[in-house]
Amino acid sequence: MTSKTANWEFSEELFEEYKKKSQIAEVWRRLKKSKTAMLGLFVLTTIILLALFADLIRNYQSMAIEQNIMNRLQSPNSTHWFGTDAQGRDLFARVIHGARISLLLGFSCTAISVFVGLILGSVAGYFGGKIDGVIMRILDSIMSIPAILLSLAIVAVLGQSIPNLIIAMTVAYVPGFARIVRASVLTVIGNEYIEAAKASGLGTFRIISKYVLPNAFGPIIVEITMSVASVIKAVAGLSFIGLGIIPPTPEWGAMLSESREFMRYNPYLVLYPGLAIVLTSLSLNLLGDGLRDALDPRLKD
Amino acid sequence: MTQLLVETRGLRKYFNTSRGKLHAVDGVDFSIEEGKTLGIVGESGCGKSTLGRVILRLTDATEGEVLYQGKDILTYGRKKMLDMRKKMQMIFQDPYASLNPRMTVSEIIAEPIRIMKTLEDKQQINRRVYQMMNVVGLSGRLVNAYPHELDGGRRQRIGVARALAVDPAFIVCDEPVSALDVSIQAQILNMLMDLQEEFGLTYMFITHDLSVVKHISDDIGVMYLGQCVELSSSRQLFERPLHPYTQALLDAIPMPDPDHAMGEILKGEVTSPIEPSPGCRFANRCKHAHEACLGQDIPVYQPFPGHQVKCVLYQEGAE
Amino acid sequence: MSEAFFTIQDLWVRYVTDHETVYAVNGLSLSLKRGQTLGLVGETGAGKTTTALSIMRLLPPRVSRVDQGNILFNGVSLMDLSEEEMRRVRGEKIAMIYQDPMTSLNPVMTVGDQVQEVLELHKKQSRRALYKRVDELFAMVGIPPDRKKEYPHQFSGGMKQRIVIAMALACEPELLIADEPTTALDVTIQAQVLQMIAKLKDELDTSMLLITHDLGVVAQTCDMVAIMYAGKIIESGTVHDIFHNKDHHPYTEGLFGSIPKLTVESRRLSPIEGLMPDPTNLPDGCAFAGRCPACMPICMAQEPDYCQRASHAIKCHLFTGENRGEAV
Repeated sequence: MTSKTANWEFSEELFEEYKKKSQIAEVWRRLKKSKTAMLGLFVLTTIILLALFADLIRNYQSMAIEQNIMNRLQSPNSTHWFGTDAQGRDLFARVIHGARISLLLGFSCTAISVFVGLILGSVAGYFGGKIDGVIMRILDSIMSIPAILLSLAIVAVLGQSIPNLIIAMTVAYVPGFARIVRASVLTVIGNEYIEAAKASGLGTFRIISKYVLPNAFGPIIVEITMSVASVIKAVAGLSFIGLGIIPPTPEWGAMLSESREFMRYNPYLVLYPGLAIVLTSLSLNLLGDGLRDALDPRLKD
Repeated sequence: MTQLLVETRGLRKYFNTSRGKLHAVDGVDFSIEEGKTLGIVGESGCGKSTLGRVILRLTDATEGEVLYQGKDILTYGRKKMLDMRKKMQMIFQDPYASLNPRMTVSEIIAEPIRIMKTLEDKQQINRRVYQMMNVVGLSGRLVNAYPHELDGGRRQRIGVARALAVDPAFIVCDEPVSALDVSIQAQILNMLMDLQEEFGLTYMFITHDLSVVKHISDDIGVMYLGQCVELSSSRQLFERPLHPYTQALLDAIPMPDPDHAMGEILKGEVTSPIEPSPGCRFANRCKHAHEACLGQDIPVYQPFPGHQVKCVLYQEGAE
Repeated sequence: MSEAFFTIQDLWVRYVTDHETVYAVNGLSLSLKRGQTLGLVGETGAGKTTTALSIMRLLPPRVSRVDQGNILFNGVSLMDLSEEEMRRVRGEKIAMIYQDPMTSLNPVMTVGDQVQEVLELHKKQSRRALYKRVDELFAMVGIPPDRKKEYPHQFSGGMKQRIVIAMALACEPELLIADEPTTALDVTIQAQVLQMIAKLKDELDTSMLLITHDLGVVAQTCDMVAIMYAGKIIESGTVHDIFHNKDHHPYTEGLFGSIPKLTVESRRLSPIEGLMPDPTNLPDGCAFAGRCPACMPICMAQEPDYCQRASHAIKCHLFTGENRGEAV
């Protein structure tokens, strides 16, 4: 008999050992193995820390806001590390203070659109049929309007403010996320383990959250990391036509567009905000790739 | 006479397709006694997997009844059905696709216990998971392993442990060994039979493999295009197959004996059961087909006690 | 009987990745006479498909290493041919049928065009002769030639496998390698396809290497049988040697014990306990020793030689040296 051949005693120890080594610790252990992910994490943390402690490093009012025509367009030097802009404001101060708004916009828009996209996409993919048709057609019609035009229209209607900007950006980004979520959900729900979950009596919500989404998350993580940078750039576009961030508030995208007249002779004006955007998106990308692999137990070790 | 555990009456499941209604399961009646195994055998597209899923309500039936100890479970609400799931479980075909790759072995086996709340205490659940792994012959050191780290045979053992965890009485086995190598297949089949003896389980065993179904089943139903064309005890079916399709199926199995010549080979292919016209669905491939086979649905005849067949050859008075 | 026209001599293949080395084929030798069918039997991971790919020289280039061995086809070593010459051998002299008919046809080309393409690649002939030959091939595998304008998805699995076979036989190859050609098919369709393959093979005088795990299929179609375990042939002989002789390798015994019999009533199967050894870390001695019910101390230490009795060869210590005759 099978049960007689396997002859070992029950012990809580194996389960105990497992509890100690919780899931998060396990993911962290695997993430640490990836050098590129750790580099991404390091750069991103640095940028976030700079943004958080920007007030301690450079005074917001005197360095980043007040104009000082005497000092305008200085090249990078020991007092003004990144140089100064056309209004004589310290570029370094503006970059680190701008990080606050850019990161806030980038992360919050992405987070909200991912959240809404996850719900819409997984509902559409999981249930299919009419629900799928209705949701996707609505999203398609939103997608058919250029994102920038759509945000522009929303900001124009709601008025110019940071919360309204977040709403406008989110509306523009939800359809993309919903599409990707739906596509990954569709590849997952064909698997027998979804049926096995139903046979175990799991409810729809639990099946989606525990069985479908974790297995569909790979492409979504990549999209998230791309989207943060893309939102920052889109806000820059809005600022450019005067519907984004109201000057003189520093914001990376806005700084890029403000500097366009001086780009030819003072290239550092676009270099530093541009570099900030590139570094943020690159580090997010590296981290996202590593995270996707670390979260997948199939790629263990 | 032992008690009937599961019974279906006029069970139908139609799917809407762009070309019309697909009659996946079309009026299937059978019953399984407690502690016995009913084998359902048929080729791809005959509706055998759909049948198993309809019985477990993984997909909704179009018509008919599924009786469990005499009560129609198709009328049950959500709450009552969740209770039923403790008694009826399923073992799936593909041990690679039927386990969530992001859950560990112990999480997978504990999942039905947690959902159906057969046990509440964490330590009790752990103990139960351990016991189940022991029962299916999985080593205890695998509790925290992920399915992808294991071979097909061990994965299928996890699937069996998951089904057994809530102590069910009835298990639908959907081709549980067809994805496995022969030597592993034999290990799993032996285990399933041992478990049946140990826990008094009732099986519905779905497969395309006649030698497997003969080995494990007490009764066998042969399905063709959504209908059960022959139903009898395993012994009778193999000694005296009545339906021409059953005969053709038996003839088509390559015997592991070079001196045994292949029987007559069935011509043609399985058509699809989309909007079938009335009459015998096997008629277009059948060598005995004549006018009586077409135009009207074929009733079930019982030429010998306990041996049902859906074929006009066995009509009263016919030869 | 004619001489063997196709031989594999002491073939060793391994797959090397950054993490591990998989020893897939470990000293495999076999030979095939013209017109014969050899059944290569084994379970997942036994190295059957690697053997087939080595013959076709289609092993994945970056990770595979052929360490040793030679493959002779009509006296020519396939290992020495240039890629250009090898391309002419493939399809024209040696053709292959794959397991899954669903994925081995191009979904966006009509089946007629796909068969025609094989012909165009290997034989120069006029348009009209070409069309005629395509029609002949379709008729040969039992598909009405007017269906050649259809796409693969319009055919059932059995029909697709017929088309794959038509493509394989288009140039009347001397050797046909069929890798589990009927595993994905239903029994009644399997019987049709096997019967057709046997008939065509006789008509065209093609030899066949049939890779399968199904002993029933082997018994019905093969002349010779070779049983593989962990990259080696552990027993070989004629079908009668394998299916009727009393002495067998314990693994072969296990395989037979694992299949439920249709003719005999048996309550329990007698499977082989345990699992195939890890191909990245094969044991010393006999690879089957760990699962073998008749394992002796010598089996762990020393690899057995073949015990040859007429056409029947068994690689097991039970039948060699001083143990001869003590066999169960």
